Amino acid sequence: MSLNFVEQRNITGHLQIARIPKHGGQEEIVFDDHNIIVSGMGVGLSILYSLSGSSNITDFQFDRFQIGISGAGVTEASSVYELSGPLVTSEEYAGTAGGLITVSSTQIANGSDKSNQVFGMIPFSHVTRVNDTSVRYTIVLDEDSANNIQRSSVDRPLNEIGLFMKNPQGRSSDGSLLVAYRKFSDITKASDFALVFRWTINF
Amino acid sequence: MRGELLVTLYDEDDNAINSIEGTNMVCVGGAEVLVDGLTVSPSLSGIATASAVLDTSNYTIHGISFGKGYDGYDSYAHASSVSSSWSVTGATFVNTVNVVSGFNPTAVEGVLIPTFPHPDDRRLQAASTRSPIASATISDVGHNMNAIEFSATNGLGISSLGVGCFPPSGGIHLYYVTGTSNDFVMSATFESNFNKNHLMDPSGILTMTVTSISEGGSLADFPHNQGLYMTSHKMGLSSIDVTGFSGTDGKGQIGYNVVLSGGDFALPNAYGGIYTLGLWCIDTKAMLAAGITPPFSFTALNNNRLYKLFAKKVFTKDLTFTQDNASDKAGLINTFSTPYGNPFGSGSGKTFKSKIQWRISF
Repeated sequence: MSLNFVEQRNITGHLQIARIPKHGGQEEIVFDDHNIIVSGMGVGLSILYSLSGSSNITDFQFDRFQIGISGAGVTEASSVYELSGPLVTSEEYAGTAGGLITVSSTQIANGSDKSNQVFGMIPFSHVTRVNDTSVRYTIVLDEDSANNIQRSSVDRPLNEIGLFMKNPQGRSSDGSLLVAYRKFSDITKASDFALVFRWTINF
Repeated sequence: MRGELLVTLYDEDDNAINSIEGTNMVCVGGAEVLVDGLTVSPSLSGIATASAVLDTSNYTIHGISFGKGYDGYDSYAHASSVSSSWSVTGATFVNTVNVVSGFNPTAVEGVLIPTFPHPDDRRLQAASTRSPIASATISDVGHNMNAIEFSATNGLGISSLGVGCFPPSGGIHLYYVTGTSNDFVMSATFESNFNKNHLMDPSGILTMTVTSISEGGSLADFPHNQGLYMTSHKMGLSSIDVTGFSGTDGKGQIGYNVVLSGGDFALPNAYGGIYTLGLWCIDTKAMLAAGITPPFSFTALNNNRLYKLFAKKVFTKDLTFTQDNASDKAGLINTFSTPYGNPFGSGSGKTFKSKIQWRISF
């Protein structure tokens, strides 16, 4: 007899993407599905529980994200450890108005570090404890953010997003770890709407 | 998150003689504490009096406890025979070295299968585990208490002997008598490694020691004179390897290990055995609400830590089970056992041991 279905607590997540028109109007849900918890979550939590990394619990919090443009070819699996094509500059994230706070830091990837990676920050006010075992991260790409992304002079839609643990090893300069990932249908971001990502992680 | 346990039973010469393994039940308390940590405000770092709340260790596993089925707490000690009347001479009983005349133990007998585990469990046994001779409700913690060591301060007094289940630091005398004729066959003083090293609080939580020892196959890898050892399964604790984690090679696994030996093996055996184990993490949120501020240091006598159950395991086999070879006692579980190495002779001072290896995968 197997009881595994209740013996494990599988960490799961759910991502909802809403399109908010600039001049009012009804919110449109453009994506609503589960996410992929990747192996970095296990690595980060094992560092936490082994007390071998940062001595500050906030370094284990999920305070940043990346959004990308090359998700179409990604095979979603727990082995994913980076976005296929993340935005590369603060200007791509925040646009001209600079409403979205970004940071440039190292990403812990599979077998190597990737320096000078740009992350969008999730304000702590956008971290909501939904219940005793769930946390919702609300990521807002406002009207000015992530518009007109181009590669080789070709417009590229947004189609992947990742959630990152801040700095589990407690490095002097942040080394962030991808913990959850999801690709989604192409969304060509423009200045007449905002995107709101409601990402809930269940522990 | 999932976990697996491997329990290996050793004889008095440290030869492995049996092993039990299985998966555990990860409980909701661990997830709650993790979410506490992931949602604590970073702004506390700017407040000198509150910044200690952000210490990582406030949100991790810190202890283990041992228990049996709730009905096993209805009696005091260990029967020598399923058919004997429960008198001082008719039961295997525990007595302290210095105390007790007129303390008449009853007996714990049979196979004390605990109730089934559930993810929402908050303790090892949901039903009352209060001893009938201990009126104080403090004896109802859901698992084996460490009452004898703290009998002077825990409010239970002499009733601590009935509650059990670990020897005091000064040792305790254990008398064995045969079940059929009530013949006295053996007595020995058993000491507690846990209490001698001040590692177990009155409620029976054995605190954890962070170590850098590797998880090996030898019993010698696990010193007996400490508490719960945390080790990494495949990585050195001092340098968690973050390379090559895209595969499924077992990285992200932490081991929690403990050895029951000496009196820490013998007395739980006499009190009915060990069928349940629980891993506990600190409940920082509850302690702050109660006005307890960090650092949450562990002191065995006055441990003010509050805990939440991270994971539990229920066995159908006593982890302190030893089967006597004598023909009149063979095959009886928890009716007569000889954790002492040479119980009928001069005594070697050795005991059987249980090595518990609990691996949590994230």
